[in-house]
Amino acid sequence: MSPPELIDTLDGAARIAFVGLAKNTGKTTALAALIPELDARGERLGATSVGRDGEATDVLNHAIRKPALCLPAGSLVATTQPLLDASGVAHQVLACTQHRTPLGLVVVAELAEAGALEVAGPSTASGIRAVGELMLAHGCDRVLVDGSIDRRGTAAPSVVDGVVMATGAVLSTELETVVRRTRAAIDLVQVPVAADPRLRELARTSDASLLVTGSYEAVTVPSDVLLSGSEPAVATLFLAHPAARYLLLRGALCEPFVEHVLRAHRTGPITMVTTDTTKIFLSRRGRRWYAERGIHLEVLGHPRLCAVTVNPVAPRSHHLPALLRSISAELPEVPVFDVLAGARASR
Amino acid sequence: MAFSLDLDEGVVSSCHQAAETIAADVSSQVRDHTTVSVERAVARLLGVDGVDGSDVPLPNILVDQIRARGGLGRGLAYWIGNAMLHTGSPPARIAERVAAGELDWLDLPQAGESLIRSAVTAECARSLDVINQHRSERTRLRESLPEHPRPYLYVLTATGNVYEDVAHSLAVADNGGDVIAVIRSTAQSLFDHVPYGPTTEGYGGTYATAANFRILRAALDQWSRENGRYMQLSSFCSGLCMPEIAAIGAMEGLDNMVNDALYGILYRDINIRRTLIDQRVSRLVNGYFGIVINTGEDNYLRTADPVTAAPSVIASQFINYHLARESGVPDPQIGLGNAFEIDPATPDSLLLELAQAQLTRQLFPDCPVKYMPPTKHMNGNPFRTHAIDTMFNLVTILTGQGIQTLGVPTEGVFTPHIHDRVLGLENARYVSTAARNLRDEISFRPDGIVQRRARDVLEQAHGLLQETAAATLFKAVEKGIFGNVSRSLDEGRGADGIVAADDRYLNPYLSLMREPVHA
Amino acid sequence: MPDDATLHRVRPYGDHLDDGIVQLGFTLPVPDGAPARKAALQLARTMGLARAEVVHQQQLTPGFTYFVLYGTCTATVDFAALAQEAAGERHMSEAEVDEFIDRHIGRPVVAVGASTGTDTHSVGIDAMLNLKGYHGHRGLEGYRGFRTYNLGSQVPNTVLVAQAIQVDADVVLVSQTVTQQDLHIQNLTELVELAEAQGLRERTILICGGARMSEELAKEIGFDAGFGRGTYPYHLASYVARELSARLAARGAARVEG
Repeated sequence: MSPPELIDTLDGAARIAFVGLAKNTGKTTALAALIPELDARGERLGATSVGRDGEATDVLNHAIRKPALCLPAGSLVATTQPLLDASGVAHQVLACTQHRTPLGLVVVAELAEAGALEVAGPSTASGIRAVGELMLAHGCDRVLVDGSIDRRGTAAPSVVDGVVMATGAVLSTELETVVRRTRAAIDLVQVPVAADPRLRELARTSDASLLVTGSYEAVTVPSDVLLSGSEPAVATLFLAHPAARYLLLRGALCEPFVEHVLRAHRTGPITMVTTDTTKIFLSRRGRRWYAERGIHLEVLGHPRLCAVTVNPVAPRSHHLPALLRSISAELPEVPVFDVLAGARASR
Repeated sequence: MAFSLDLDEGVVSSCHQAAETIAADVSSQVRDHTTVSVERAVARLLGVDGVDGSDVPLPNILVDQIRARGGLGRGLAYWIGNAMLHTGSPPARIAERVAAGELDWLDLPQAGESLIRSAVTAECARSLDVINQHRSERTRLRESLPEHPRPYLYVLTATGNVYEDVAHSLAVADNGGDVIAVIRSTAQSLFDHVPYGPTTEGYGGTYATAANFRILRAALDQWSRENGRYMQLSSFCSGLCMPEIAAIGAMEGLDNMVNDALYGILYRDINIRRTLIDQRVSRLVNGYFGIVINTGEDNYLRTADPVTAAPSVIASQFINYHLARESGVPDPQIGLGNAFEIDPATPDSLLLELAQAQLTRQLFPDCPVKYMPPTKHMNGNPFRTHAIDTMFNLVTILTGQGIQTLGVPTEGVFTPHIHDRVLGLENARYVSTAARNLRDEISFRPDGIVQRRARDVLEQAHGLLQETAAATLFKAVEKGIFGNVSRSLDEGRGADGIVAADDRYLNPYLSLMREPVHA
Repeated sequence: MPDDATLHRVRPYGDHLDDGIVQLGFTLPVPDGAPARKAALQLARTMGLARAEVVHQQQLTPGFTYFVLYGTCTATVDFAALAQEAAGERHMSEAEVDEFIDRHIGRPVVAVGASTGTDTHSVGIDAMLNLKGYHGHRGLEGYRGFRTYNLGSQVPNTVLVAQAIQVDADVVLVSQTVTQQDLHIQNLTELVELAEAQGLRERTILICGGARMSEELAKEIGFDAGFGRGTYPYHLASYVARELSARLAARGAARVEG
């Protein structure tokens, strides 16, 4: 079902997150399709999910069926004990973690036989990182992480090494809109990496967020200004530091703050650097729109975008047959796949 | 009339006096000020519309530029008037050139003041003529078609997509609704601009834009002509753009607007003075163009206990009424608000609701009071809600309300699905038919529960009004008298949009709209 | 009353055990008439209703027909198993919660709550946090073991997170009313992401509540727990006290008295 090409895009990424732009974009289908391919190449797999996935039906919409995860014998899985028991698949628990989910503590188990089961892993990014590392330490070649709705935190570079993004017709009845939104989401994941060594050094040696001038003098910026500062407060910040050219953020970059910066009187363009793309919270405008107005975004690092999968069907709603071709045309730099048909888009 | 309460006329007129004092005090506090929204409304009435490449509306661009130069106290009309004299172009063209960076309009040499005044006043008068002409045509259309008798059934719809709203609105029209109101996207009341163009995405509602109004208006007018009954269109002024939305509504042929003097302050955390200045001008616009305004007393019954908050509702009605009169809105256009929100578990809740509903009607006999169905205590059981809505419908008919917001069975759970609205409409029509003449057949027991309740509520309202008149409205809001929500004078959004008018402030619309006008 | 055996195979109850009676209402976007009726019956059958019958049918507007149907449900549910799952959870009373916190946590639990996004009314969060509480049950403000901050309504996620950082909150409570198009989901997800981005997620318990919130939905979005209709302050307090204590114990920081 899954073409050889999708598996090739994973390359050397040991931990891969499957992230969807919305529910029912087919990300779990993509993940499930890869499993037999990886197994056929002799890879030992580890699997987990953010929240509860692989359920028989969609939590939000009971009419939509979602695939259970079928894993080969010898796979590791990070999930909760009650779900392991309910699956009826023979297994051996290798480790009990301290990660609490509302369904119980997460355990890492090895499957003694092939089988299908619901997977509910840790609901925090650090929890996912921990179980990922644990499964690699127990001998997995590859860890697959099933994301939940749009929990981008699971795609942070400290958590995974590669990301597969799933998009689909469910985003809109209009083709243009699906393409536009997909483009905007990819733009956010492909933010340029900050190359300036002095900036990187400043970021490395400071715990706080910093406003930095063109000559690399830095002053600390309190986090509450960045999170919930008023327009006058932000304007004052830039008035006090007219030579500011860079902003190194430790935490989240929020859109209201960026809008305040847009309106503040500045003497030149400004580049905002976050640790990774999961810290960027822009929903009204895209990265390019701000760039046109003198605000540039960079990150210290991000996981590689391996591929984009497309689901041209919006369950019980509509079908956009031209979606695969349109998305491929829009994203020449990324491999694009139809998650159900298994065909690589022609270019 | 047999079905009426015995009210102490002395208390009633004392309430009016206190409310007049309150309104006059508000007027004196806000009279010499204007806001960015008032000035943007002036631009819009003069024909300025559209957005620039960054989606900023042209009225905002103009006003922001004047404000940045410290000239807003003179009024946008002054600057536009000056630019008109120098360029010979109409306001819309000037705005386009300013937005494109082609015209340094604020640096133009300033012509003589009386020259500017007469040029821009003539332009304002012209703009009003055009709008009035459209409104006269609309009045003719409306008068040529029959309407349902009162109460008008007022139905809310909101899908986020204006084209879907059209489909839902037509279904409502087919099933006997009279007024369509499209709920706005939740965040809109906090925007300091009015979005532009038709919209197909909105959270919690559909954006109020001139284009959306136009689309809905055209669809409803077509239905009206084809089906021989006039359909009314309503929207919501509240938020940081009250005067602008009022202007847009007038230009696009709306019949009704929700417009409350205190809502933005209490529930949107907008600065008190900003809202009071904005409401004054927005109601001037609504009143002048014959648009009915609805006030939001129902909100107090949701954030405070309805039984104990009833006096604050009556007090608010008096205040809203006199503030509207200060803006020149005549009684038949002041749709004061009331709601059926008492906990159904309360013994005699029906009698208490009856007292409140009848009291409101009697206190403001010429106003088309807007009566709203229960929401606060609706628990998701559609059958229970439907049953309680029937009682609400009965009180509506018994007390002869002017506008009746439709109760639907899924209140509190979902925004109505297509059949929920129809079920609600059938319920309302059944009750209005079944109880058609009940009001003329029965009367209240003298000194019974209903009469005593009405008297008590009126007396307490009277006390509140006197207290507020003595302390001023600003202090009363600070004390949390309305809806248990307290706001202080310097709190809230939009305060930075208030500007003191200078002694040469120019806004011809203020005086033009005070003159009685159209047919 | 059903006996133990039938509790493993429960069906809806009309007027006698196991009759499976279900009442259904829906609209089909089709014109009224015989084919519409057949369509409704067929749909009911695919939904698992046997012996379905249409008791009411009406045109809402041309092209839309509304139905009320009855049928017998062929599926069953194992109630006994579900009941057993929930058996372990008993809620503590206010006094028991205060004592539990004293004993196992040793300091007041800091809770920050708000109704986020653009919801105008804060009725839900007020009911849980304010002294006045709900239906005679005091809000967390009244508990000795809690220190609460109620930010009210229309609170942007950024402000809520900023406040939580400022007061070093143990638990953040978010209340959201559902509008249409599942607006609340996006806003709630953003809160979780923001908490992660600020490095807050680990050390804070995130809870969401609302009339249409559920445990399931909360988990899906990434919260630690979700509370829906019928929740009282002591339900919340019990959960928070136990959860925080367990986390602190896991971190080795709890003070346990023998």
